[in-house]
Amino acid sequence: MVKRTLLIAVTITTGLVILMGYFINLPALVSVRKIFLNWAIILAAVALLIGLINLIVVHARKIINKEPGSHYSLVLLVSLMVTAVVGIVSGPTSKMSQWIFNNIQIPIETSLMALLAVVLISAAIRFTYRRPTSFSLIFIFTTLIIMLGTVSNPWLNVSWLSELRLWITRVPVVGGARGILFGVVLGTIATGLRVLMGADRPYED
Amino acid sequence: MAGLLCDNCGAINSPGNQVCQHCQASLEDHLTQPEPISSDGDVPGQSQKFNSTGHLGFPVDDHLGSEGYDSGHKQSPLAELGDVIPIETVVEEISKPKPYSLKIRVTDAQRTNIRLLEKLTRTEAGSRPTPKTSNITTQHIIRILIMLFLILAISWPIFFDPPHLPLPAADSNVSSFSQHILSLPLDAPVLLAFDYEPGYASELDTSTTAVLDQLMSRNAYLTLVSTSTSGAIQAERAISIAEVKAARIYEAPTDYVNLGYIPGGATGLIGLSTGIRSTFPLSINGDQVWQSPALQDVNTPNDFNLVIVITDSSATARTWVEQVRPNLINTPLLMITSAQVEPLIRPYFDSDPAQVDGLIVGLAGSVGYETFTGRIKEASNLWGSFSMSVVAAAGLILFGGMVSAILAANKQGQDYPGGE
Repeated sequence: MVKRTLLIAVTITTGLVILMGYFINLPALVSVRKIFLNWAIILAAVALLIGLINLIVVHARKIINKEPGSHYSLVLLVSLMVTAVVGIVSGPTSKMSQWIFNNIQIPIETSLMALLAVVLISAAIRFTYRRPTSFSLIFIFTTLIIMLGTVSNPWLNVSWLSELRLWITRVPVVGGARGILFGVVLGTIATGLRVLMGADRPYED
Repeated sequence: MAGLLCDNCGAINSPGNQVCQHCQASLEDHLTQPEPISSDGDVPGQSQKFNSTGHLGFPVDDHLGSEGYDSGHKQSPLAELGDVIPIETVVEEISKPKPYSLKIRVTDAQRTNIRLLEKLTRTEAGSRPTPKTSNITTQHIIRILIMLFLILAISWPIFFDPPHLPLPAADSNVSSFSQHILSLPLDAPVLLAFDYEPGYASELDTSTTAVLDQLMSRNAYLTLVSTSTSGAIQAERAISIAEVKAARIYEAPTDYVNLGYIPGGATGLIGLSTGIRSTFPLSINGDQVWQSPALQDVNTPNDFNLVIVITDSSATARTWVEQVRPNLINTPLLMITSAQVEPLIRPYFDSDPAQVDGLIVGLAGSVGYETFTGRIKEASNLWGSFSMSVVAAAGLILFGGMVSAILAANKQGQDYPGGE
């Protein structure tokens, strides 16, 4: 009970100090806020390290237990170890680290993006195979307008396509995205207030 | 031995008596009359019975005798509720269930049906071998055709004489970007954030290279940071490419410094905006960089002459605008973004006062920037292949979608010939 009360008190106090630092220009408050922020940054870095250790443990366990697909875990652990050793021994931005980055990571991730393009085109083609609704047709035609309005087209070089694309990206797209963001912000404020009031206690999980 | 309680005088009478043996009062028409409990083992309370008139009787244990009931029990509190309590339903609820045989009585025909049902369910529950499917499906063939068509569209402008494709013009956001770099004093410190994933390198490398080339021409002192774990090495790669394109040598820590990764996302950026020295006491290589002539007066991002963010994510771009921009009083914030980020970030440029002072978006923005500065022509060389591949993709979607819709309509017609 004492532990729980202490946890709630620390959370609420920290939250209020950080929040008040934004509204009240008090040097002492700003200093305390800076200290808390630096702690949070250090904790985030430590969390990354813990995540890495957890990744190693989970995949090592898979290999030891000979679970299905454990050979992928082996590839992951070997790659991780090689990259880590190269980074630690020769430096994180050394020529060897750059070689790994330029010749393995960039080609793999770029290839994944290229695969995504092919799969998305294939999905768009199959989109009309099912009974098309008005919304699915709007979706397809909007996609085509955005694509053709972005590039120079040797066969269909019309200015209205580019202008239509600009209107779509600046009005309906921004409106929709802002609406979603607004919802997210309201949710964040509500969650923050609940934590500040002690109604939500995620640290007790 | 059990008895009947007379509610007139309270005496216990022998079972079977119609009138009280003491006061001659009737023992039939009252609620408080306890029903005699047989001594054959019935448990009191479980074997409550009702008299002939349907009223509740109380069991009386003969061990209690006449003194087993106090005066309160002589007149039952339920006496007035004789016609209110639904006796029949109570009887149904508390009486013992009738014994039924556990054996199901079924006819021969029913038995045959049961066997048939069991046989059917047994075959359904059992595993059946899955039908062997071909390794190459129509979907695979379609995807391979799409890939070949895209490769053809991309390589056509490279290997053959490309059709005349007009290059995108430099918009106001691109010209504003370039103007800010041109107005930099020589050797000015510039903060560069490399916040994009390696998968987006193809799109963002061209504009990054062009901007780095222009910054190097001003001999700017570059300070590199990143909120992405791969950002630090991405920054080194970009510097290496720009060195080759600009035919210049930029060396750390004399010409630039790589501070590395900022952990904590938005929190890390708040820390950076309030005190960059406490966030990064050393460079990624462990160098003491804050004493160098270019950075000795730098304490916050506001002390840089320019802050440039290169990102593929609208969330990251927003975080920079929301967390760092308010602390940039005199320093412009410029952005190089992927095309997917444009819709959410462009309003920050269009607003008055602008929160983003210059913007290069995607490959089209790179081409516009190159056209405006007249320096490296890397993005312009890629524009033909990019345009042709996008037009090919749009054509595939349009043509394939129409064929797909016709096939679907035909299939529907075959499944439902009557059109129903």
